[in-house]
Amino acid sequence: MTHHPTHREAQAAAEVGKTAVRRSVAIGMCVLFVLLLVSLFGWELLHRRADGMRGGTYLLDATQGLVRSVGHFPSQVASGGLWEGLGQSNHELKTQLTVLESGLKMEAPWRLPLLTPMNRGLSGVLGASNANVYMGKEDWLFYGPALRHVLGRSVVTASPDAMEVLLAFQETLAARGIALVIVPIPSKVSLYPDRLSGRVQADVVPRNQGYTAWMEAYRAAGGVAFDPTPALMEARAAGAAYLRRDSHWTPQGVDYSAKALADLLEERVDFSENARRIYRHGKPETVAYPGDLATMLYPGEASGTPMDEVVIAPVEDGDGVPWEPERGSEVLLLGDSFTNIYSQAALGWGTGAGFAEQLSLHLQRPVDRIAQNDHGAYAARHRLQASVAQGEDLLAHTRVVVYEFAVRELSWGDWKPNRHMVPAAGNVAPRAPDGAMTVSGHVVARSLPPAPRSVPYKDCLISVLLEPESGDGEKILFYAHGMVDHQWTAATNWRVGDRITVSLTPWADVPHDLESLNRMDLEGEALHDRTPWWYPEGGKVVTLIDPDTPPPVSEVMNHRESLSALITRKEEAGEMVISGQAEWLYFVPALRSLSVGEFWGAAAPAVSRARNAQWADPLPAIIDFHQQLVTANITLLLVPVPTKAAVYPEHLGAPLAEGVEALAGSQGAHRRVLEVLRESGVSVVDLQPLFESLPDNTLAYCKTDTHWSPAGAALAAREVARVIRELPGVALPERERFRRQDETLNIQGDLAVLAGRTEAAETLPFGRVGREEGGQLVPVMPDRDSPILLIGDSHNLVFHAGGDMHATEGGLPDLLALELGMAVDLVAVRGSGATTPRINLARRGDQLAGKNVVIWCFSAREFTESVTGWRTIPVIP
Amino acid sequence: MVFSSHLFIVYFLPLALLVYYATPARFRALPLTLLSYLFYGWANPAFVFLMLFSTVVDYRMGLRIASGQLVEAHDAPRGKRMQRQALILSVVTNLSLLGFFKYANFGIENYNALITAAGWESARWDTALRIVLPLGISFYTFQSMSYTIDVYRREAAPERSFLSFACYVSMFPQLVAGPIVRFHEVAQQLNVRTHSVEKFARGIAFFSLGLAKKVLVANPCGQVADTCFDAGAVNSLDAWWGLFAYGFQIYFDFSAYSDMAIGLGLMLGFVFPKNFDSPYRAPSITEFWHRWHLSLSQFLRDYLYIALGGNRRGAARTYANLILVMLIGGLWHGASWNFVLWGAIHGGMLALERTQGKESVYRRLPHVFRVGATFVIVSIGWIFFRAADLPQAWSYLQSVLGFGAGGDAAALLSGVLYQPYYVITLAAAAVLTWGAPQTWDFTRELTVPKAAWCGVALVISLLVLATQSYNPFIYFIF
Repeated sequence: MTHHPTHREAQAAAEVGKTAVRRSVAIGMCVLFVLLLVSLFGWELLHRRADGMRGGTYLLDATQGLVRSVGHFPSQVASGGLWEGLGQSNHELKTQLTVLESGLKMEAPWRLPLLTPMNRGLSGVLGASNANVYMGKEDWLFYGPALRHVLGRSVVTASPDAMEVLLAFQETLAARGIALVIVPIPSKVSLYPDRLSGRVQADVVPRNQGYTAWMEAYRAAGGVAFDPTPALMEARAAGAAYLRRDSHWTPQGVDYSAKALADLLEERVDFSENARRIYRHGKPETVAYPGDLATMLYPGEASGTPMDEVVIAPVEDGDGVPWEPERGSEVLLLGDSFTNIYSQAALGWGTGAGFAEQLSLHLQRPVDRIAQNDHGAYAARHRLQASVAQGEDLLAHTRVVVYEFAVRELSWGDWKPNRHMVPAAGNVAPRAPDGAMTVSGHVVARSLPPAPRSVPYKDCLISVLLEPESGDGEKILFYAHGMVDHQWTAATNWRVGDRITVSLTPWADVPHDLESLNRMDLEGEALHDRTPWWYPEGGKVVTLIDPDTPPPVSEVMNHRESLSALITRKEEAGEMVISGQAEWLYFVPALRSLSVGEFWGAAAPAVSRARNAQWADPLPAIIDFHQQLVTANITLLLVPVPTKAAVYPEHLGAPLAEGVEALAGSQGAHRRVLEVLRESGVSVVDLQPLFESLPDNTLAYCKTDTHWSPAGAALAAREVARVIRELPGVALPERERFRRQDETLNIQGDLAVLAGRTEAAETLPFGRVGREEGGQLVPVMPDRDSPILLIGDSHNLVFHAGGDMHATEGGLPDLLALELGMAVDLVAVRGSGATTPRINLARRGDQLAGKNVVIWCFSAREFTESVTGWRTIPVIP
Repeated sequence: MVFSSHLFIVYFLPLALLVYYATPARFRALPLTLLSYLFYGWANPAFVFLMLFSTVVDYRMGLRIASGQLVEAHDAPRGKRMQRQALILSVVTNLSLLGFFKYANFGIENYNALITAAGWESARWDTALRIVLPLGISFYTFQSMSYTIDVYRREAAPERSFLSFACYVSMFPQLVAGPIVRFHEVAQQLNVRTHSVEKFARGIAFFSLGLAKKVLVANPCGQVADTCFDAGAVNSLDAWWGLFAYGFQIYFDFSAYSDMAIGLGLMLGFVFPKNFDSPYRAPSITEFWHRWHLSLSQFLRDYLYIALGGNRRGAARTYANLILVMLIGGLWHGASWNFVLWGAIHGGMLALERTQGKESVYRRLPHVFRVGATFVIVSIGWIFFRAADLPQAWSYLQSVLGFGAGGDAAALLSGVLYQPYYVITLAAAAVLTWGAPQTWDFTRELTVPKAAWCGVALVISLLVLATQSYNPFIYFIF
């Protein structure tokens, strides 16, 4: 054997021997290095343990995934053979490991606090770019993918599928006589090249080197494209076309582009003359926001980041009602965040003034809109196609589809093929007749939101696939909030295999601003044609205080500040339910509402949950509505339903109860505001003393539900009827005789569902109201012609609407009918009763003709907790 | 898993050190092997079986060769036959694995292109087979194969312990990107090695400086290089800027990984060979290859160049051998004609310099210009190494030579490329390349200021690593 003169170990000895290092230095280095590793490792572990809800998401997901993928192996082998089974198991395992690794980095406790100072140094001072943001001159920021699209390889080679997909889409639409106009929005750097490089003049429009050829080829193939660049150049000349620290265009840019597009559409599309409407700009609003790029670059320090201000011009119809997209319009706008930027509150730049609104204004026609932030290459297109495939023909009256997308999608977009647009048997899920369902089942799959602040949007929805325990075995796909204001919600904590109970409403009924949020879809083409549902509870998971354990000393409170601190802690932990004694459950937002103190006037913006501070104060909206009704000789009766905790604080447990009792008494803000309203001439029914006067064996509230009990509703109906009968000048028609049939009702309340306490149920005395016809009770249906109109939130629907509202024929509308001897008209919504019912009234367009009394009944917590806020709505212009 | 990742530094490394040092010295091969398999399987769990297969085959063949050597003492023909068969089986198995996983797709593509060009469309091989390249296969097959060759050549004794051999093949510090540690270099250390605070401290210094080179120098250079190479159009000045940035990126990226590997090895008691010796200070291409990726060039020299006859069969054969070895070396890096061309450039330059007595053609220039000229030639070669395909390489070469497309978009590039961050980083890279001591020399004498310097470099690197998302590793894909 050959002898090697320089053996490695000998070399090691020689090398180390040559290392002139004092032993103390060597030991010091080793100790410090080990300390560093141990402290990093320990910090992460402690952090994950402390932040049990969100911190361990990836870790637990991946661990479960590892176990699951191994567990799936036998069945995968059985179904697909050894190699396929191995391949699938390996793929699952690999995916879980990738998720785990990226999650660990993303959730590292020091990452977020470091991001801003590091970026201030590296990017702010030295001009380093990161994957998302490039630094320009004079504080201009550019979105990475958009810039790389302009600089990068030709779109002709980068995205060969785009043209094919778009032309096929056009062909499908053309078969139904509908035109397609694509609107690629240029990158910001194309309009502001001089803000990035001194080598380029302001009047030059740099584009991706293949863009012109692509557009020529598209047009030559029969495609119609609208290029907003000239309009945006005009906007720049007139002021600004793009925002300085945001990736989107300015309100001016939107307005100029919408005007130019409207001109093109008028020229090319044969609109019907009778579809014209009057739209106009409402009162201009100034909006300030740091911008999505600044937020990404300097997360966690939005308050210290300079704000950019813009003036938006919300659009309203001729009656002054805020613009809303309209199904059945001749124009359907498909879009991304460029469409939403001034429409969606979550994007930070105000609402009511987006691309669809301005297009509608310039066309003087209604416009329908399907827009979703991000994924402009397919998201909105697929949503349209899925809706049509599910039997909701959004294209029935459409003459033109305008397809807006960021031009960078031609480089980076996922141009997924078009889906079939013909409803297929079995694909059309029937709409739930009562609009909602409560279902228990196991989570089969769940998507995750992106890392907070790694994307230009702060809210997004996740998808959950649920296998119900009962029914035909058909899995249910629903959406839930996954990220709200850069924070992951607790719905992300659901894991595959978890058993959950959720109350779902049809996705088709969700507000428009939710529809346009970015959604993280689950993989699997077959899922896309499923009719989705919506989980409206904000994605909160509940952890309960053990009812038998008294609140810890730290949670004892005798005053508002302590209660506020407790509520804040609960909400941060994602706990929406507090469990009291004797199986009473309390809703945390309701307690918060009690804790905030005075919530009207100057105090409103600081304490209200309203997304827009302008709509934080409830008084202007209520008084305005009252005055509108006065002009029409209609009386408003305001019936705020006190919070359960205000009436039954004692079941919260001794120390907590004392604090709440003090806040809910006659000097509490919820009672004082009623006096303020009375002083303004508004008739108010104060239910709290009435409820408190009930005997102990008659509960005004359900223990496990946020709503009042049938007895509470009956007492409220009686009181409201009494007040109405005493109103001067109100003439009621002849009484009709209704009968009440007493029975009992078993319910599992919404708080129990929210808490996942399937065992928590209660039995309530319940009265069913109806007309006596042939010995049968026939339900009293709401009567549109009734002089009494009941509006508000779900307190008007509980025990009336069935489904998640527990029963029919025993709710407030039915009980009022019984008390008044006449059916009442009803406009009630699930969710906030603050503004939406009045918008719905305005949409009726009848200016409340024939009404004598409007009863506005809503939960008192909405004074502060309504995120939509208290807008003034011109119901009777 | 890569060293410059959150997962490795915060989770894997503490765990590995804890488990390793908590295990009695004689049993440490077991946790080290298991940890290495975990490290390797992280990217794709299935491929641990491939590495295990290669390990089992070479372990068995090593023993078979050793048996043949015993038999040879009293039955020479049979003994030699046994050794030859075992060696051939080992080499064929390893090269087949490498060939299948690394070159099958390339082979099919080229076969189809040829067939199509010849008009024999019906003979195309249209297969749905798309083979995924196992991580580090180029490194560990070479390493494992070197064992049987060394045993066959009697340069190493056969390893009787399967665990020790598996530990050698899979050892995580150098598994996926080298240095390629040949068996005879590490054989004794597998069973007996020293552990001392001095060795550990030097390992920390190596790891810290390696991490800093990677995170603070290679990554920003990579951003500049990516911007230029991914651009649709780039003017000549920017193209050179991007090209030099790539030259620095690949050097600091790869040498940093080697430094970290050597540092981790030292922490575990191993001493790995030096892999880089200031390659950009070379005044000729011949010298460059005495300084760049030493473990690969030595492997190719000892197992390929010499096996082909080296310089023993005349000048013409020597030149041909040099070019052939570099072509194969190019292909080793990746299954693409780009790498073949890159190898051809270097092979051609080596042959040319061989005709000049291993000196460059510009040998009469002052040293500084010779170094500069060599750097430029190496950099031109990097175009083929970095470009996604031949058309892109050609297009970039045109830009470098001043025949690029230009245009408004190209003019925009300057706004990104010449931010202070990148100018400072490239300047620092140049200073470190031509003016600073190598890691080996810097750490040979560890004073308190040097130790502090290493500590600061480590902490800053960790801060940047935690907050920056751009963190590619070039040699990970080879």
